[in-house]
Amino acid sequence: MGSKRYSGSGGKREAQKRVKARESGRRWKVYAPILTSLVVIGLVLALIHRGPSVGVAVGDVAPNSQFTLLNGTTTQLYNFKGHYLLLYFITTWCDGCAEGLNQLSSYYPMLQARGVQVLVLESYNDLGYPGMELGKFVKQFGNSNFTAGYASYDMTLKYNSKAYPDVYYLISPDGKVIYEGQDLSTGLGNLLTIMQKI
Amino acid sequence: MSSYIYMALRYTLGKARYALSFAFISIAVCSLYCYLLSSSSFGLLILGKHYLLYMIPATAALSTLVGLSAVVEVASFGRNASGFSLGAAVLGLLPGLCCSPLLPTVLTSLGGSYFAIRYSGEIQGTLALYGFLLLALAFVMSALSLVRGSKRLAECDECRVARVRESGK
Repeated sequence: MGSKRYSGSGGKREAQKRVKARESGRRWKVYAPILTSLVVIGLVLALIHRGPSVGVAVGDVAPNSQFTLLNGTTTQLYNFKGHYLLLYFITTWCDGCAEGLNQLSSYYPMLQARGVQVLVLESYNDLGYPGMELGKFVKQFGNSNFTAGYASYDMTLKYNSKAYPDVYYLISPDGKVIYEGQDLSTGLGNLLTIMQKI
Repeated sequence: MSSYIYMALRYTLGKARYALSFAFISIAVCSLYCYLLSSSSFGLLILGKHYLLYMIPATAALSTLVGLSAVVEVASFGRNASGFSLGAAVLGLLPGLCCSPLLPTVLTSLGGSYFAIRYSGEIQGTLALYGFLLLALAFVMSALSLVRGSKRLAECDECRVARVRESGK
C-alpha cells in the first residue's frame, strides 16, 4: 500500500512515524472496547451482589400467598407456619437452580435436624420460558422430601419482583423473614451459617 | 494457512508488549468467563454433574484464542477484523448470563417487574438452551479473526514496514 512512497531516509522516518501513530490508534480500537466491557460487567455484577433485597426484606413478615402443589392442590404459605421454612423460588431451565437444589439436598440431614422444611416453588410460568417439568426437575436434582409447587403470579411478584432465576428466603416459625438471597448455589455457605444458629 | 498463522504468532508473541497484552486479555477474559459460567453452573442440565470438567478447559481455550486474535489483529493493523475478536469475547459471555441476575436487573429497570416476570425467562432460557451454540460461534469468530489477522500480517505493506522498524533494520 504505502511502501513505494517511502523513498529517502526523511520520507522513511515520516512514514514510520505515521505507521506508529496509526498502529497505536488501532491498538486502542481493539483494546479499549474489551477493557471497557470487562470493567462495566464487573461493576454491574458487583452492584448486583451488593443489592440489599430481592423482594421481601429481612425482618418483614412473609406475606401470605397462594400456590399450587405438584398434585394440583392449592394451598397457602401460612399453612407452613410453626416451622422454619426455606422458601426457594426456581426456574427449571436454569442450571444454577439445578445446582442449588443439588447442594441443598446434600445438606438435607442437617436441615431436617434443625426442623427446616424446604418448599421449592417454580416462579410464575417459569418466568416466560418452558423448562423441564417441575416434578422431574426436583426428583433429578433435589430430594423427595422437598415440597414442590408452582407460584402464582402475585406470589412471584411479591417474592421475586426482579424476576431472578432463583431466590430464596429463610422464614422463622412466626412467619418473619430471617434471611434472603439470590443464587443459592453460590450463597449456600452464608445460609448454612444462619441455619446453624437456629 | 498454518504457516502464516505460525509466523504471525511467532512474530506477535515474540514482542514483549504484545505478549503482555495477550497474557492480560486472556487472563481477564478467562477470569470473567469462569466466574460467570461457574456461578451460573452453565452446562449442568446438559452435561451432568461433571460439567466443570468440560467447561473449564473450553473456557480457557476460548480465552486464549480471544487473546491471541486480539493481539494479532493489533499487530496486523486490523480494521474490519477488529470487531471479530470483540464479538467473539461478547458471544462467549452470553451463556454465562443465562442464570445470572444481570439480565433480570436490566429488564426490571427498563420495563418494571411485570415485564421482567413475563419475559426475562424468554431471554435467559434461550441463552441457556443455545449456550453451547453461542460458545461454538465464539470459537469460530475468534479463529476467523486470528486467520484474517495472520493473513493481513503476512501480506500487508504497512505491517512489513512496522516489522522492519520493530526489528531495528
